Amino acid sequence: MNHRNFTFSLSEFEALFPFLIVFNHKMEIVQVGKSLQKLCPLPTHFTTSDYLQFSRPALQNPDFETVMQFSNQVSVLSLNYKPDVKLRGQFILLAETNELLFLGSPWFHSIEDLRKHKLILSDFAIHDSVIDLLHILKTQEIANEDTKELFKTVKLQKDELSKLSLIVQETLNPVIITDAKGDIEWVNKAFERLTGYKLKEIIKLRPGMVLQGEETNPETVAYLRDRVHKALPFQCEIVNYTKDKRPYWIGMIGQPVFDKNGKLTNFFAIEEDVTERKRAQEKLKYSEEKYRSIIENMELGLLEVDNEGCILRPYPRFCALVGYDSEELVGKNALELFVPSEYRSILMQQSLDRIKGKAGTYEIPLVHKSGKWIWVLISGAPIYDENGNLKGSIGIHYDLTERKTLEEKLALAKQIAEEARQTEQQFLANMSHEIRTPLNAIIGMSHLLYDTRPNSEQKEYIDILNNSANFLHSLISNILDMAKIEAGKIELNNRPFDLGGMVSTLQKTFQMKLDGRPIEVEAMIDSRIKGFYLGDETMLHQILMNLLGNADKFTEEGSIGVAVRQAKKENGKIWIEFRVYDSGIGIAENQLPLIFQKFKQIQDVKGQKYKGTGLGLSIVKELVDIQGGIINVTSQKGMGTTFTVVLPFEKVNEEEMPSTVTSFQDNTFNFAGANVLVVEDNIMNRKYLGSLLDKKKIKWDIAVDGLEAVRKAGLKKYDIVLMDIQMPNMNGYEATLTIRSTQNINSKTPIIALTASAMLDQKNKAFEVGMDDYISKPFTPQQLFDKLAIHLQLEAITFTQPDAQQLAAFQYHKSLDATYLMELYDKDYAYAFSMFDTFISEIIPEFDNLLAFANNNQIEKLSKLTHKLKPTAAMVGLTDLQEELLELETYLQQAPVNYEKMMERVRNIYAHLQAKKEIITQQHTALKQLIP
Amino acid sequence: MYGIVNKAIQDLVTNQFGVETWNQVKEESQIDVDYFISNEPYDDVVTTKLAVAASKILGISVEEVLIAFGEFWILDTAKVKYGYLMESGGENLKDFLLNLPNFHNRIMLIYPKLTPPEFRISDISEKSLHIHYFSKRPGLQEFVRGLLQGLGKFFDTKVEIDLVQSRTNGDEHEIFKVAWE
Repeated sequence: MNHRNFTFSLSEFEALFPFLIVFNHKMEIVQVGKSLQKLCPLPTHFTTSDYLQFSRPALQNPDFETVMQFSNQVSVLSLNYKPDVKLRGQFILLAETNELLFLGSPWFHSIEDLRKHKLILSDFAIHDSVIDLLHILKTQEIANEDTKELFKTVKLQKDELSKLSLIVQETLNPVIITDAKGDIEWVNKAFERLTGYKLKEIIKLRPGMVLQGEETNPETVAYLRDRVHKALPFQCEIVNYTKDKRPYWIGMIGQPVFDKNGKLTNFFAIEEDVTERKRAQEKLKYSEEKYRSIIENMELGLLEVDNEGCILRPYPRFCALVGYDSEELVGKNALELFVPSEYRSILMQQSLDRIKGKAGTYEIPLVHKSGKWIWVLISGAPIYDENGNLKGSIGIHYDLTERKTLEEKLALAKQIAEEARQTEQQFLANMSHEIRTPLNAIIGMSHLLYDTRPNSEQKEYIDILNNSANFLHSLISNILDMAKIEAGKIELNNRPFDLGGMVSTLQKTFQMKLDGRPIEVEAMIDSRIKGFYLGDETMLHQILMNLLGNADKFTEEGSIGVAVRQAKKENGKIWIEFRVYDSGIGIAENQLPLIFQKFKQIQDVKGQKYKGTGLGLSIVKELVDIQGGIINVTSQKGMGTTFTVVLPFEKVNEEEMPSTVTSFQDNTFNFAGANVLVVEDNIMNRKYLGSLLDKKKIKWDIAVDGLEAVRKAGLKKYDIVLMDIQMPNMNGYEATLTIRSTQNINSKTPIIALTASAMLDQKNKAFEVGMDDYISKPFTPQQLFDKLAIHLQLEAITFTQPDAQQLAAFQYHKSLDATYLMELYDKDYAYAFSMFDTFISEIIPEFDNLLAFANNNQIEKLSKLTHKLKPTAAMVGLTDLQEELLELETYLQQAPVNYEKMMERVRNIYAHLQAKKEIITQQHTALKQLIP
Repeated sequence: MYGIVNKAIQDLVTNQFGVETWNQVKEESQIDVDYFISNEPYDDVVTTKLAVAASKILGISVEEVLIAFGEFWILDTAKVKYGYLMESGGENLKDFLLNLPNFHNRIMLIYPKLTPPEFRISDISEKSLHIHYFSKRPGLQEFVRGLLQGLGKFFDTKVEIDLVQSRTNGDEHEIFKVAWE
């Protein structure tokens, strides 16, 4: 090797050793490298020991020679101003200058130390590996960080895994894991408990070989084998065997496990011991079968259908019921096969209920294979599969055909009985009419006989004849009333009426009726009872008349009477008590319970019956019941009897009261000079209205139909128009509309409808077309005058009532409706005569037309004429004839009209009129004599 | 490539797009690695696959992925993990770039299993220089571009980088001209 001297300039040498230090012989620092100068600048005045210390070798202020001895060692110097920095290097003797050269680099523990001392890469010599060492340290740090993070991740995963392992290990469900071939790798504790095998005993074995036995279903085994072979998930229930060969059922869900590359690695299966459930199912199935067979044996047909209504299982009894074989039924739609189309909606509703899990029972006809219908009672219930899913429904069918037939027969029998009863009632009503008609003639004739100056014997016979006939008449009337009540034809007709006034009038009328017998008729009215009450006046009238009649019958002398008092007020109702008493013979206590029974009559001590039908009190009882009232009777033998009736009424606020009510207050008004147009096609009504208006000195014109009314309304101003509704050419509605909608002097004149119909819609229509009010026919003079007064805006003048003696001056014929006539005509005999006169000359011939129209089956004409004649009958007291005409009119409005039934009614009406003709004529004559 | 590089890609995707996206990228790349160990060498294909997969999942080009990754490497991974080692490379961009060859030459020894690229510097002027990039790996020049961009940002210096020559154009190695203000 060649001896070579190296010569460097200081800067070149410094680049190689930037941390160099040069010491002189006195161990004074004479040179410091540029990087050391940067790291720790040399102060101006210093000693070496001020700047640095010799750490290795550890020397205190060493001299030149001492340091030189260690030049073959690694030396470590510590910088006083940078205590954390050590310089690592070696000393070399510079022989030429007798100086010591230290060559080294600072030693750091971390690259971050460089930052602290503001050193960078270029402060180090290129060959210096300190930086590389720091770099490696840094790399180590990073590796440590990696390791820490990895540990953290691994720990998390381990925790997760141990949690999962714990779950799998400790779960109550057996878990089994096999390798890709299907050999057991692992089982959990639950598996070990259930099977009795320990993992180590069965590891690497096929589960099937270990667990299956003779009861294991080969189909399920084949299924499992196939799924495992194809690496597909599986789910099944299977019989397995424990180590001690005890069978048990498990439900199993399993699936293959693949690695990231899609390679099959394992299978795992989770199992559930379902032995108990299976046993329960078997038990249930057994029990269901047992009950189904019981039901079948009870002759109840069972049918199972699915959710679509298709037959799943028809049981033998059901097959027999519908006439099909089981094979013919399975899979068929039960609804389409068995249920007639009109009943399908019932079954469909039931099916919806089954889907909601509701059971239900219903009756329905099924079509038998033969086509005939059989009626069944079906009790249906939903059925579920072993997982609780709705599978369909089961219906229990009970054959009702026989019962249905019986029901139909019964219904038919009931209908026949009902019809028979109605026929009977109709017959009774007809018979009463039929009997009454000749009876009226008998009574009429007996009266005429009195005028033939009979001798005393003959007069006695006539009296008997007359009494018998009157008795028969009242008997028939009562029978007729009872028939009506029983047929439900009597309905409440509540209207405001003057209750006190009615009782007063009744007392007077009854006193007159007693015709001089030594009996005083009394009426006592509670002072609180004033004005108008809402109630059925007609019914009350009949109740009191019957009770007074009864009192009269059992009282020879003394007094009878009616006492009226307000009993109580309750919920807006005023209960009024009517006590009808007599001082007659009284009723024995044991007879009291019988008196309201139909056809029962009390007997006197000698066993004799009293005259009467035995219906009067029954009718009273019925009428009281209809009104929701109470009736009681008290009696003492020989002391008299008292009937107490309590009925509910409502007090009418008279300010709000319609003005059509019957008023017993004899209000009157000064109508003189008023101008009225009467529009009326019926001649009787024209006369009636005319005479009433004359009485009050009201001027009036006539229009015979709507057309004439319109014409006359254009000619002269009227104060009021009285307008009939049903008229030929133009009816009252049309006439009113025309008068109201055209320019004429009466376009604002009040128009009052005169309507024969009680129908509400007709009244409403009257207001709709512009009429101001209406009066229902027939009406009393007072009703008319009240209306006129309202629309003429007149003030009432109250007169005192006429006394009873005046009322007694004239009596209408008993076979006519005398009460009605008295009320209708008051004491206006001239007017009454005029009405009877018109009836005889104008109306009676019309009944021939009535018969002719009926014979020719001219329904429309017959209907119109009936309507026209109806109100005229009451004008002469033939209120029952009016009723018959009303019945005819009602009947004709019902389509189809039976000719025979129609003829029967018309003939009855005709005969009725013929029978009354003579009496009408007599009355006409009698009235004439009263006119001055 | 050492694991720290792949880890850096993982961090980039996870930080900016979430763990889910990273899982997708990993799934897409079909790399069966749960955890990249920083000082463990991985096949270069892993890095390439990750870049390609990220490109597909994020819907950006592979070049853009590499540039983004280069920047991230400087500004995140290196800065955080190597700390002062990065800073000690130079007090400004020019010094750092001039030190680049030195730095990589050292790395070769520190990471014996790594074949780091070699850098050389030429055409040094006050405001620019040429970086010569020699690498056995093809297709990573855009990663280098990203690194250079990242360094610009690291030193808060606006840089312009031009690929003056490239292996794809038949040249022997890549030359980037880096100019700064």
